[in-house]
Order: sequence, then structure tokens, then C-alpha cells
Amino acid sequence: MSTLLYLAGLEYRHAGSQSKFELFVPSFTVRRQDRVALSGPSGSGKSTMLDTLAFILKPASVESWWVQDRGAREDIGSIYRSRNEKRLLSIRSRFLGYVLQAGGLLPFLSVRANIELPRKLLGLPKDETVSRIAARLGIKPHLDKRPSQLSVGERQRVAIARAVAHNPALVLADEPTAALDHENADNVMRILVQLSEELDTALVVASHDRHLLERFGFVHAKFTAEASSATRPARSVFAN
Amino acid sequence: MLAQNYILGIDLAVRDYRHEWRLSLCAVLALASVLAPLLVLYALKFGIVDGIREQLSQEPRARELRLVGHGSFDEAFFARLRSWPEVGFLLPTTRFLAATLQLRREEAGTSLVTAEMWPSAKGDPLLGPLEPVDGLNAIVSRSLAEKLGVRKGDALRGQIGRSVGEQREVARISLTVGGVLDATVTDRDVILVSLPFLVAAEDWREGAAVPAYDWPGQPVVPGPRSFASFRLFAKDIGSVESLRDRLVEQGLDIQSRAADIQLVRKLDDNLMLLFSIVAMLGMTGCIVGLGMTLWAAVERKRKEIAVMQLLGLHPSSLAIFPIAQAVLTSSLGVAVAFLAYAAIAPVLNGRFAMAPEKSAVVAKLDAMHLAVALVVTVSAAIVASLAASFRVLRQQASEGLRHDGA
Repeated sequence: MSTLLYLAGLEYRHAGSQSKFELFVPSFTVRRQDRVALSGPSGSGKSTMLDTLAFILKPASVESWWVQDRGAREDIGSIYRSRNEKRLLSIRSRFLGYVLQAGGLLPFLSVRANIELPRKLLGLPKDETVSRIAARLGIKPHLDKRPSQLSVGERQRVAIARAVAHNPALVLADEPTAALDHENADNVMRILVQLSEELDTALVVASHDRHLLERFGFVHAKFTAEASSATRPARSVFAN
Repeated sequence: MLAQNYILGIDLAVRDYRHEWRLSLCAVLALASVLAPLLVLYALKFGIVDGIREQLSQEPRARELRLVGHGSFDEAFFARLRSWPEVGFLLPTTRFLAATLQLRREEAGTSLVTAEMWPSAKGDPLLGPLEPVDGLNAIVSRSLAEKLGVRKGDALRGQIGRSVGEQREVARISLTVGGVLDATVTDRDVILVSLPFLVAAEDWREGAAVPAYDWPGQPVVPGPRSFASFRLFAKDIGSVESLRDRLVEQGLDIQSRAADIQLVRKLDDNLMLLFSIVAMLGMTGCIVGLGMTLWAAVERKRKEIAVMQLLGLHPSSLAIFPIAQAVLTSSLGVAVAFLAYAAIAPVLNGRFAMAPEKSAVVAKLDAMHLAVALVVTVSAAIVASLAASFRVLRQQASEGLRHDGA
């Protein structure tokens, strides 16, 4: 399987007013159709890792980082060094889909408009894609409703539909089932995995529920928590 | 791609504005509640001042500048005066004593009425719609017409007397009434005649012959002629003061309505000052309030903004978000304020109208005023939204996403 994402020697430092924290990724690879799980206790840096992969947190340093975006290799490290924000934005909107914990739907848009938004941003044609995905996720009857009219589970399915509507190569999901009961969590995860297989999309999911992820065939990235020392704050290390 | 991003940003801002219609309505009404009284206040200021100014400009004698006493003015003086941009109409006149004429109706034996002769010509502001005097066609004042019982087209018999030694001589002339002046022009017995006729009357009174009218006497001594006075009108109301000042600088004693005009200007200035203070206080509070509301909205919508950033909307297109909403609030605020003004203005005009027979308008606004109100309000709202816009630009997607556990 071809490699979609490769990064090595990535360091991210957070220096807040009350805490200091470091994320270190010696190496991390995602191949087409991979299902990678980022597990760890609260505060272990799972979300930070996802946000870094989504180019919304800038690393302090990185040795090598590239993504394979529709046949073209994009050197993310170089793009960061040249501070080409527009390029990053463009790669992010094409290459990535992102599912947030509570859906992150825009309340002022209908379900349909929420799902269509990433496609609109890319100038993709208005075709049957949205209806087809909505039907596949069982939310077609809700397309003209507002997110506030849906249950939590339905909202999460809309968030998944939005994340895959533009057919990205990689979908990142941050605790996508955290707000759901067991039955709904299973349903949502099943749909996410099935869709990723159908659309030939890789998944990187952050969750504290190791068992759920294992049941759906996710491979855990190796996580190590390093305690703070005199010269360095506490550090989370993710690698696969 | 970026243009598409901006269009999408504006579209999303409008959708959000519609979605939060209660808050949007509050902002619009808050702005309108400040703007509507300002529109009414400005309309009153403009209506009152404009009404007085219009009244003045419709009264031609408001533009008149009169010389107190007599002088001696040659052709060079009049040529110089005519070149001044403030001058609208200028004609020399003779001495007052030489400028009288006794008149009676041609066919009926009415008694003689003594009238003042004023020189007139094409462009005389007193004529209004009347044809200018020409040859022996003269215009009479309403008062004179009533005393003589004449109207347009009637013939008049005029006579001018003089004393030569012990002997009393009278020159006679037939004139035609070319028109009757409006009663508002003057309540005196006046006849407007051509300048050559007035000059002939003065020559005759001074003992000279006037061959053109077969009036006997001494031959006129050739040479440059000077005049004792003049009839002078400023080009418009706004030119009266400066024209008066220029004449006073020449050492002339001038009477004019400059004081009335100055009073209107002062009234305009003072009302404008009052309006500016009220407008500044009201608008500053309102615009600062709008700016704070937009800032608070951006703080409240950190998550939504972060999600839009995450989906690929460029930060600059998201920075348009508060600006677009400020434009909507200010435009709708002006529209609502204008509707309120449009409902109030007829009531004010009805209640405050001084003269019921006239269509006196007390509260009045032009399309230009509304355009200025719109442009100023929208511009101020855009300035007020810049802080919120800057806040959006500075927001990191990651901080918004974790804002409330999204």
C-alpha cells in the first residue's frame, strides 16, 4: 500500500501560563486504507497530535514531513519553513477530513449545507455525492434540518459525512464516539470504518476507548509518556 | 480560489446573521433607535433653515443692495462693478429728486399721481415673469396701478415739471403699461422705465432739451456722464454679504438684508453644532456598542470560526465575517431609521406648519442626506467591526476547537 503521510523528528512545544508540554514524534507513517489509533489517557497529547497532523498546530521543528496528495508529493516541512499558509490551507482542504468530538457542525447551516461546505470550498460540482453519502449514513431525511434538530448520534454521522464528502485521502477523528452511548458509539465507528473502506481513505482516530478501536481493527500508535526533568518538561511520544 | 473563499465567507456571514435573527434584530433596532431621532433632528434643522433661505431667495429684494445717499459714479465704476462675480444685476440711476413722474390714465380724467421712476432692463430681478421695459413701455407697481386704475396694455399720460427762472415748464409723454409688478415687490408708487428715459427726464429737469421726445431746452453739453446712484442686486443670497463688504471697502454706505442672511447662516451653524454634538454622542455610543457586540460574537463563535478554518476557509475571508455583519446591521439600521423618519415627518410637518395655506415643510431630507447617512453609518460600522475582524485573524484554529470541548 502506498504511503500517504510520513513524518520524522517532529517536535511540538506548548508553553502555557500554567503548564509546559512537549510532543515528540520520532516517526509516523500512514498508508492508504490504514486505521491508526492514537490512544492514551487524558492530557496525553492525542488532540495535539491530531491538530499537528491537520496543520493547525505548527511544530517547533521537523526533520521530514511529506504527504502524497493525489499523486503529488507535498513537502510540508518546506511549506512550513517558507510560511506558505495558503498552500497549507489548500492541501488541508483537499487532503484531509476532520471529525470533531461533538460534531463541530455549523449551527447556521442546514445539514445539507454543512456537508456541502468542503466541496464548495474546493469548487467541486454540485452532484449526487451529498445525497449518496447521506443515504449511506441514514441521515438523508434530515438534510434540510438544522443541526440543533438532530440527536447527538445523528450529528456525529453528519460530521462524518462532511469529513468524507470531498473524498479526502486521510480522515482524522478526535474522540468521535466520546459523547455517545455504547450502541451509538459502535454504530458511528462501524459507519466510519465502512465508509473509509468504500472511499479508499485512511483513518487516524484519537480515542481513550482502546477496546472499541481494537474491535474495529485499528492499529495503535506507540505512546510513551516521559516525565519532566530539570532540562525538559513532560513529553508525550507517539510513533508507529 | 481566494475570491471564491471571500464570496463563501460573505455567504456564511449572511446565513449566520439570518440564523441569529433575534440578536441581529436587536442590533438593528439599537442602531435605528439612535439614527431615527438624528434623522428627525437633521430634517428639522435642514427644513427650517432651508425654508427661511428659500423664502429669502424667492424674495428678490433680499438680494438688493441700496446706496444710502448719493454719489457720483462714472462708467468706469459701473464697468468695474459688473466684473465682480457677486453682481447679478446693475443699472445706474439718477438723483432721486429727478426721478419722479406725474401720471394719470390717458383716456379718463383721473387725478395726477406722483410716482418714483426706477430704471429697469432685461434681467431685473423685480420683473419676475414680466417682459422687460422697452422704449416707452413701462411697468407699474401694484399700488400705482390701483391708484391709476390701469392694467397691462393701458396708456398713461406722464408729465415732468421744471422751473426755468420764474417760468414753470412741463414736458409730457405717453407711456404704455407693459405689466404690473407683484404686490410683494413694493408697496410704493413706482414705475419702472428704461434707463434712457430716466436720463432724458433728468436732462429735462436740469434745463436741457430732449430732442427724442420733442422737449425743448438748452442743448446737452457733451462729455462723460456720471450717475448719482445705482440699482444693484447680488447674484444670489449667498453673495449679498461679500458684495456688501466689497462696496463698504470702497467707502460706500450700503443698506442690505445681509444681517437677515447672516442670521440664517448663524442659525444654520448653531443648529448644525447642536446636531453634531447629539450625533457624535449618540453615534459614538452606538458604534462602540456595535463593535463590542461583534467582538463578543466572535468570542462566542470561536468554535464555529475554528471549524471553518479547519475546513479550509482562508483567515482573511473569515475576517470578513464581522465586517459583513456590521454592513448588514448598519444598512438595515439606516433603512429602519428612515422608515421611522418617514412615518414621523408628515406628523411634524402637519403640527409645525406656520402657514396652513402654504405647503410649509418643516422636516425635510434630500436623497443626498440619506446617502450620506448610509455611507457614514456603514463606514463607522465597518471601522467598529475591525477589532472583531482582527480578533478573527489572530485566532488559531486549535484554540477554537478546544474552546468548549468541541
